[in-house]
Amino acid sequence: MQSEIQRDRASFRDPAGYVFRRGDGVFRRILSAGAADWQCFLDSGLADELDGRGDLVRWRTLPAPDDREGGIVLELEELDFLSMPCEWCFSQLKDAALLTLDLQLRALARGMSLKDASAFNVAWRGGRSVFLDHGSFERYREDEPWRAYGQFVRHFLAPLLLACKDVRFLRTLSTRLDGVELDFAGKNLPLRSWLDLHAIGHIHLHAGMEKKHSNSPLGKVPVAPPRLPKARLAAMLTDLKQYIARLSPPHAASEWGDYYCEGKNNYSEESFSFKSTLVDSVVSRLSPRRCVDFGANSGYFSKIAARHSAVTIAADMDCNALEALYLSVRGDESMRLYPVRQDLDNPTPGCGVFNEERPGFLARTKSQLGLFLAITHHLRIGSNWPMQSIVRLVHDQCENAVVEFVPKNDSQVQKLLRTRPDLCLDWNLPDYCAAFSAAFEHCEVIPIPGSERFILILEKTKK
Amino acid sequence: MIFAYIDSGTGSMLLQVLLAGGFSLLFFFSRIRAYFASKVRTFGGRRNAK
Repeated sequence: MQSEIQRDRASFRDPAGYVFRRGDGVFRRILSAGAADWQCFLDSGLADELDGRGDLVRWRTLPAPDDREGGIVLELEELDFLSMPCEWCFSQLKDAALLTLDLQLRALARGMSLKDASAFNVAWRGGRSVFLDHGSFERYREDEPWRAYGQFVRHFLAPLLLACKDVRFLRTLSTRLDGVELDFAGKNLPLRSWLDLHAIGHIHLHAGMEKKHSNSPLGKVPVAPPRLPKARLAAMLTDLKQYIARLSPPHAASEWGDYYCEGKNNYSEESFSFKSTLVDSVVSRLSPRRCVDFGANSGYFSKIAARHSAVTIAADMDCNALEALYLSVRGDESMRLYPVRQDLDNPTPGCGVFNEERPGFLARTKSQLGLFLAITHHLRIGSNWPMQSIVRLVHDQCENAVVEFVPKNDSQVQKLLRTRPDLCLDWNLPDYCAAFSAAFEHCEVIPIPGSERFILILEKTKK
Repeated sequence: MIFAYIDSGTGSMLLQVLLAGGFSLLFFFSRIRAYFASKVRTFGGRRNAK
């Protein structure tokens, strides 16, 4: 018997098709409104070209469904993990922008065009960006401007230019599912942006034109789109692509990006080597399908985990640390390591219509193994989390966990206590172990030699 | 007729036509500049090789 169809909650805007789940698979149905465009996509050779390059989520066409809806059903490659644009670092957003422009240029060359340019259409296969919306391709209409140009600027160019000033602007994307409003971008770009032809044209003038035409009386709105020859459009997009490729994040000191460099942390060579070997042996023994490293910094332990875990997610709130991690795995499809910007004090919530379109971070990161290395003291002492909440986080998110206890006399904790009163009377090893032992069937406590820190290996059911 | 399901925006479409004119020219000149720059490098390289 066929299992029930679950329509993807974010897939409802395009009348030409939608994505759904059935059993363990992900599928796309192309409805009759999109059938001609899909056929043209196949006939033009664009589908084969993009498939050959690995730019598009892989698919295979299933036999025609015999239900009332009809259309064409594609079975899609299941991606390991879907992150949101607000969780990406600068270079991830830049690579996603370059992929979108590259696809549009390739599409134009084959008589097709992208009908939308949302950053949500880009996902990751390891360190490589892939386009996931097969329904975005439509037939190019002669001399018509790119209808998704405004959306491209809001979703990619405006946030990138703002992030060139300060990468923390990328965090604001969590409240802007349709990208950054151009008037907002214009007001927040530095004054020197008025010396940059591209920023003037694509952002400042664009914002002005949008404002000018947003309240045009109906009679003054042009019925037919203005004409723009294809060659000129392609030249503009190529120029835009070159411009975006030159953008770089501002140089800012990273708090955690170089934490594992020599002399920057509290580990001796012996204790660091012990911790690395221990993490390696636990991940190797459990061989999880998915491992999440909470507080990954620049991903030293995430990379160790990635050797034995099918999929590894490296979450950290430091944009610069994640940037370094992404650049080290960029383009590498074989290492299924996914850097994600995340603040555990305020993880990405469910977004969109009814807050259900895109699930929040915690709902997307249930795993077989969680690494909580030198992070829980930040939650308990830095953010005043009750110990029960920390245990709940670890227990709810993963079946097994490696947790590091950092005592109060450690300089990292002393740094936290420098500017706040010590309210955490339960921050000691016996209470810490007791709290986790109550929630996990197995709790093994291992001291790190040459250090006063401890590692707890937690398992819900002992293997 | 509405072709796309996103709001392409009248201002955005009109601006695109204007910008495409300017930036395609810019792109054209940058290609010419790159061409001559590569020729100068090649010529300079040959001269140095002698």
